[in-house]
Amino acid sequence: MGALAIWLFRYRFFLWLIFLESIGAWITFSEQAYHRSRLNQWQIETAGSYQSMIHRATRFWRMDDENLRLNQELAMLRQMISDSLGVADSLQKTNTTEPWPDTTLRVDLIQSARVLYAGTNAQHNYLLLDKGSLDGIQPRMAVVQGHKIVGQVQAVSPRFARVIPLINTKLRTSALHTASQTTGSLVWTGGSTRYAELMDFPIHIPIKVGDSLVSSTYSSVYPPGLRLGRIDRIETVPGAITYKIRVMLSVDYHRLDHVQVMRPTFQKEREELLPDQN
Amino acid sequence: MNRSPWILLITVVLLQGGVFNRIHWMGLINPMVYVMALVWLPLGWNLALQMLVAFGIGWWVDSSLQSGAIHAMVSTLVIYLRSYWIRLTVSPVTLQDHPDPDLRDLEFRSLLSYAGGLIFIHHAALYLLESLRLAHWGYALLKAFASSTLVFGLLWSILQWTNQTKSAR
Repeated sequence: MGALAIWLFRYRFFLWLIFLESIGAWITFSEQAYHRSRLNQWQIETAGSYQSMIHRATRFWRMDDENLRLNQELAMLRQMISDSLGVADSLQKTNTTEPWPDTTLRVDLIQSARVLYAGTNAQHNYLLLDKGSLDGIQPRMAVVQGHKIVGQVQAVSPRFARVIPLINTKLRTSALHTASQTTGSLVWTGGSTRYAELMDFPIHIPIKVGDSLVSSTYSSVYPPGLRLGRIDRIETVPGAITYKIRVMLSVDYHRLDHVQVMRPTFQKEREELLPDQN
Repeated sequence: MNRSPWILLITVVLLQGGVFNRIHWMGLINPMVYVMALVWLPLGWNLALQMLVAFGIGWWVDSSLQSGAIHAMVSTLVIYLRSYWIRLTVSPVTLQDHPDPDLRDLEFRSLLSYAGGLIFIHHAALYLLESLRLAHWGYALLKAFASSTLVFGLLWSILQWTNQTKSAR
């Protein structure tokens, strides 16, 4: 205790300096929007650099998984090419009514990015990508994996981007039930990262387990027709006018490695008219 | 302590708020004359008190510029560094005779390195903290050099004038 007192006395002026500087920094960062934004960017940069380092160090050990995933993706792409070559034929044969993939899917920027960090343990999870504003990434761009929605870009620094995934309790995404063409809100309420809830879905609409949910035209962030998930469990609550629906998300956030970032065509023009549209 | 800093302190702080905050010559010169008061503060005071006074002066300027507490942070840092800086820039003989030397009694060379150095450190730290971008360090240093040259010139003129007044008496 005596040694501590001596140490404190010896460095009292320096500690006093740190105290006053901390007060100054607190005032500055809470009052100045510019400094707050710089601090935010610095946090993203630092976290990005750190995660990038970790990722480089662990990438070698994940090659087997990565090869498997690439093979699956290759197979899926081949299937899609094959399907699109004979699309008229197959539509006549299967008589499908699902509007996916949507023909109105028009984007004016697609950028591939690597996921440096994917938080899955918190209520407000986020992802960190290795691409930032220097690569054209901007806030409110859609982040997808193939035709599956991952989330949306929240903030960017020159070299990194922070993404709010569907598994963030703050995010509410408009979801279209393809069979009935009815929309509801997809919300993650915490817990398992494989499941979310479909809210505000009226009880008079017939639905069944296995029905698919895709992004709707109501969203200005996501192009319509991208996969959100499939209905996994349906419950009716006596007296309620909406279902209680559990949705199995299309994306497995524990196996995210590469994603694509895209911006729907005319997004800015649309958001100018509907500023609060998600 | 054979001088009172209060007149200079109040004058330069008021001048800073009323006049010098509005000066932005060629985008380079934005003099912070209140730093003269910091340099002028008696070294004999308790360092903790000096730092508190410096924080207060800086915060006063911040409130007129609406700049958070950047000036308060930089002023406190300058006052803290001053006690070490003087030992590096003023000859030990002078410090032995006058532990709290009057700026008017310093040789020009010592004055330039002591006061000029502190003024430059203040401006450089201020502009770097203001832009908060390491990429802009070149511009910040250039701006700091231009502004601190002007402030040092002003300080030197005041010291010359007060010296002449003292001699006339």
